[in-house]
Amino acid sequence: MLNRREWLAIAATVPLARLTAAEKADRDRLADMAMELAKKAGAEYADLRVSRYDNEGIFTRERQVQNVASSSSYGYGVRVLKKGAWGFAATNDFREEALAQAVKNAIEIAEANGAIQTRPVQLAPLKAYTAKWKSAYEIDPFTIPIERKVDLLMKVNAAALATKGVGFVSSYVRAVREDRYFASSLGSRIQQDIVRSHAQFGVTAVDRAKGDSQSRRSMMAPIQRGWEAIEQYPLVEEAAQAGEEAVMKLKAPGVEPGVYDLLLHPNHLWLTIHESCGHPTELDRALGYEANYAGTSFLTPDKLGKFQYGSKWVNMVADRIQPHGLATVAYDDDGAPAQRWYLIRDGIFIDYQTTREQEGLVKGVKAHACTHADSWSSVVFQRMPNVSLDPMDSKLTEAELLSEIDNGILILGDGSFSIDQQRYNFQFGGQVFWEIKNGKKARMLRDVAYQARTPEFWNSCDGVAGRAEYELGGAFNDGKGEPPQSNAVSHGCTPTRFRGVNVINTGRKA
Amino acid sequence: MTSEQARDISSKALKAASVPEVEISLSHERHGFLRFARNAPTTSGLTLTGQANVTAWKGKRKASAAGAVDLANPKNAVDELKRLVSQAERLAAISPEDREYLPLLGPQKYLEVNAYDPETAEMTAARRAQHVADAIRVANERKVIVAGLFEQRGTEQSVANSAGLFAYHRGSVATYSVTARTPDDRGSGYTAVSSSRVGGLDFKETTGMAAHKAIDSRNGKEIKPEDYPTILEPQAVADLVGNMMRGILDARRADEGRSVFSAPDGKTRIGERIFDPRVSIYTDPANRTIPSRPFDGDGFPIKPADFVRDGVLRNLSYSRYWAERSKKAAGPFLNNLIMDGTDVPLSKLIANTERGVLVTRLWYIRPVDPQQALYTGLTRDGLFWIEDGKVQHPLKNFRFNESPYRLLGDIEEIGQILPVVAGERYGDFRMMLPALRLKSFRFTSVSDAV
Repeated sequence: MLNRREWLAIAATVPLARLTAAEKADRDRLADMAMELAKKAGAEYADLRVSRYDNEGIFTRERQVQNVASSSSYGYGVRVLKKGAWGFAATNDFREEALAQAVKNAIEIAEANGAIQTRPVQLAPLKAYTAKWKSAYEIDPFTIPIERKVDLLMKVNAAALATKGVGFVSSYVRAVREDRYFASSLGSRIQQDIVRSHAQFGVTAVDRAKGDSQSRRSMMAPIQRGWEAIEQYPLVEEAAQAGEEAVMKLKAPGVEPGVYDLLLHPNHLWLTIHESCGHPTELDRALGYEANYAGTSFLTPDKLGKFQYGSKWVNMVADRIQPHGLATVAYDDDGAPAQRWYLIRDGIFIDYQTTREQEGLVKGVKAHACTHADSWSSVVFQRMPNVSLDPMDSKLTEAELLSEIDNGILILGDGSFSIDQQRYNFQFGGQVFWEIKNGKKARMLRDVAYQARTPEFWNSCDGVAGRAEYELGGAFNDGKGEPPQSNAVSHGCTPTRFRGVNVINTGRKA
Repeated sequence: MTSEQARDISSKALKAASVPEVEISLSHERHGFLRFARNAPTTSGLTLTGQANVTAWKGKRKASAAGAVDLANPKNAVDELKRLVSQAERLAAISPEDREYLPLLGPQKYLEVNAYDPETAEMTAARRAQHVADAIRVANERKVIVAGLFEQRGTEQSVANSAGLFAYHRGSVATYSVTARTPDDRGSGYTAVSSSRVGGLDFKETTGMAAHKAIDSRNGKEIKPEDYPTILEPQAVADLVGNMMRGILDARRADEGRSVFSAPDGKTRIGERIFDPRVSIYTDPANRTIPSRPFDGDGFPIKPADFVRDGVLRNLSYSRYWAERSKKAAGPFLNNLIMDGTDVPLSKLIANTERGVLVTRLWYIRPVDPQQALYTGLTRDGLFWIEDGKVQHPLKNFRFNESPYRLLGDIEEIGQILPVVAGERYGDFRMMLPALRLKSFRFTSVSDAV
C-alpha cells in the first residue's frame, strides 16, 4: 500500500559529505570479519549490508521557505541462516566489538527461531558476483545550490498564486542518494549507487463563502534520475495551469453517478497498476506471509497460467532493469542479478514477483531477484519491482482512443486510492476530470471516483496507446511489511481505455 | 541513553555551535521483533539505532540536518552531533529567511510519565520466540493459519536547545498482532494488543480471539450495500475515528477554510456542538494504560487537554507561530487519544440491536474529501449480521464512503473503552476508544476479499 505523502511529516533531507575512500575500503574488512564470525558461530549462510542513505528536502508554502532539511543515515545489518532459520541484527556502531555483538545477536535470533521453525529455509543456487553499478543520471541533484532550488519553487508558487481564487500553494524538491554495499558468504562484493529526484506542488483554491475548497497537485513523477529530470519538466507552466484548474474545480459540476467509459492517462493509471497488479502478483502475499498487515491476494497459485486477469490488451511486465525506474538495480539484496519478466501475458496471469528463498514454493515458479530492504537497519524481504502495462506493438494514439468514446471521462493525476486486502475491490479518484461526449473532450467535472473489481476492470480494457506515449509514474514510499518498510517503485503505461466502469460522486451532496 | 547522558551529549554539541540558536533532538532505540506466518517464524531482528535531528537558525534563516548517530558511545555521539550542527549551520547560512520565525522555547515543565519497563525494553530473542511459540500452539489447536508480529521497543528521546530547554522521555512498548485464517481461506480474524509492559499481554488469549473470529466469519453472506445500523468494535473506531482525529486538529487549516472544522466566513467551529453530547475526546500523556511522551518535537509540553467535551469542539491545535499570529495560546497537541466510554459491554450493544452490521476492523482508509472528512475504506477480518439482538451470520466485506465526523453525531449507544493498536497507520500512537452503536453507516459496494 502507498503511504506516499506521509514522508512530508518527516524531516527530510540531504547529504553533504560522501563516504571517504577509507570508509569504503573499511566495508570489505567489515564484511570479511562478519563472514568469519558467522561461519565460526555455525551459520550456513551470511550476508552484510553496509549502507548510507542521504536525503535533501526543501519545503515551501506560498512566498516562504518552511524548511531546508538534510539527513543521512549510515550503518549496517548482518543476516545469518543457521539450521534453516534466519536471524538479523543491525547497528550504527562501527566498532569491532559492536560487529561481533551484532553477529552474536543475529545468531541468537536464528537459534531461537529455529526451535519453532517448521520448514527450513532453502535458498536457490546463486553465483558470487563482484560488481559496481551506478544508476543513470546526468546531474547530481546534491550539487545544485539550495538557492537555485528555492528560486524554482518560488517561481512555481508565484505561478500558481497568479490565478484569482488560489489561496494556498505548497511545494518541495527532494533528492535521494543511496550508497549500498552488499557482501555475502558466497563471496559476493557488490557496490551500488542510486540517485532519485522529485519535485512536487499542491495548489488549493478556497471559496470561503460556501466553505468549499478544491486542490490540484503536480503530476510530475518521482524518478531514478538527477536534477536534469526536474529541469526538463515544465513545473512552472504546470503550476499556472494547476491554479486555473483548482479554481475551475470549485465551479465545475459534480459527476452524475453511473457507468462511463474511462480514458486514463499514465499520470493516473500508474497507481491503479500498482495497487491492482503490483501487489496481488507478490508471491509472499499470495502465500499468506503478509496476511496480518498488507493482506493476501486473489491471485492464488491455483490460478497461475490460466486465470484471465485482463483482456488481450493487458500485458504486465515486471522489470528491475528498466532505465530510470525507481526500483531499478543491478543486483537485489540477496546479491542476485536483476531481471525483466512478464506477470500477465495477453491477459493471462503467468508469474509472480519472487525472491531467492521463494523458488520452488510454488511448482515451476523461479526466483526473480525481488529481495530488498529500505535501510541498513531493516531486514530484507520481497519487494515490488517496477511493474508496467506494456503497450507491446500497439499503434493506437490517445486521440484515437478518445474519439471512440461516446460517454466517458478522461482522468489525469492520481488522487484518493483504496483497495481491499486481497486486491479485488478498489476505488480511485484523480486530480483533473474531463467529460468526454461523442468522441470529444467536453467540460470539467469534479468529485469523480471509480469503483471496480480488479479482473472485471482489466478485462474491460479495450485499447492501449502505442509506445510513443509511454510515461513512467511512481512513488518514493510504497509501504509493506511489519515493521513497515518503504520502497520506491515506478509503473509505466500509455493512455488506456476501459469500457463501462462504475463511477460514483464523492461530493457532499451525493 | 540516560537523561544525564542525553543532556551531556547535547550540551557539548550546543556549545560547539557558532550560531545563537540550535535545537537538538536525540532518539535511541532498541527494537526487537519476530514476525511469523503459516504458523512459523519468518523475518525477525534486533536493531540498535541512534538518531539525531539538529535545527540551526542563523538570524531568521533556518535549516535542519538529521542522521544516524552512535549514541551507544558518547564520544562518537558528540563528534557526530557536532558535524550535524555544523551541517545545519552551513545550510541555514544559505537558506532564505523564515517568515514564520519564532525564538526558541526556554526551559519548560513536563508531566511525570511512567512509561518504561526494563523487562519489555531489553527482552531476549529466546523470550520473543517463546511468546510466539505459545501463540502458534493455540493456532494449531484451533486449526487456523496465523500470521502476525510481536515486537518490543525501548526508546529514549530528548530535546535540548540553546535557550536552556531540556526534555527527556523514556518508554517501552510491546505490541502483538495476529491474523488467523481458516485453512480453506474462507474466514479471517484479527486481534491486536499493546502495553508498556510485556507482562500485560496475553498471547494465548489474543490468538484465541483471532481464531474465534476467523472460524465464525467463514462463508460470509452477501447483502446489498446500503446504509445500515452498525456497531463498530473499538478496533474499527480506532481505524476510522482515530485516523481522522490525528489529521484534522490543526487550527491553521481550519482558520484558512481548509478543514472540516472551518466555518463559513473564515471562522472555526470551536465552541459549537459538533458531535453527540455523550462524546468527549481528549489527550493525556500521563494516562496509566497508554502513557506517551509529554512533549512535542521542539520540547513544547503536552498536557492533558480536551478536544471535544460533551459534544462541543473545545480546542484545535495552534502551532506556536499560528498562536502568536492569532493571539491565542499555543497548543494543545495530541500524543495519545482517549474517548470516554460507558460500562455497557459489546454483548449488550449487540443485544440492543434489532438489525444491523457488526464491524470488527476497517482497512485502507483514505480521505476522499477533507472538507467534510469523508473517507473511503473497507471492512476486514470479520463482518457480521445482527438481528433480534444476536449475531446471526457472517457477511461478505463492504467498501464504505462515510464521514466519521458525521458518525459521531449519529450515535445510538457508546460501549466500554479498550486500549487499541493503531492499525494501518502503523506506529506507537496509542488510543483508548469505545465500541459505538451507530444509527447508520454507508456501505457502497461489496468486496470479495476474505
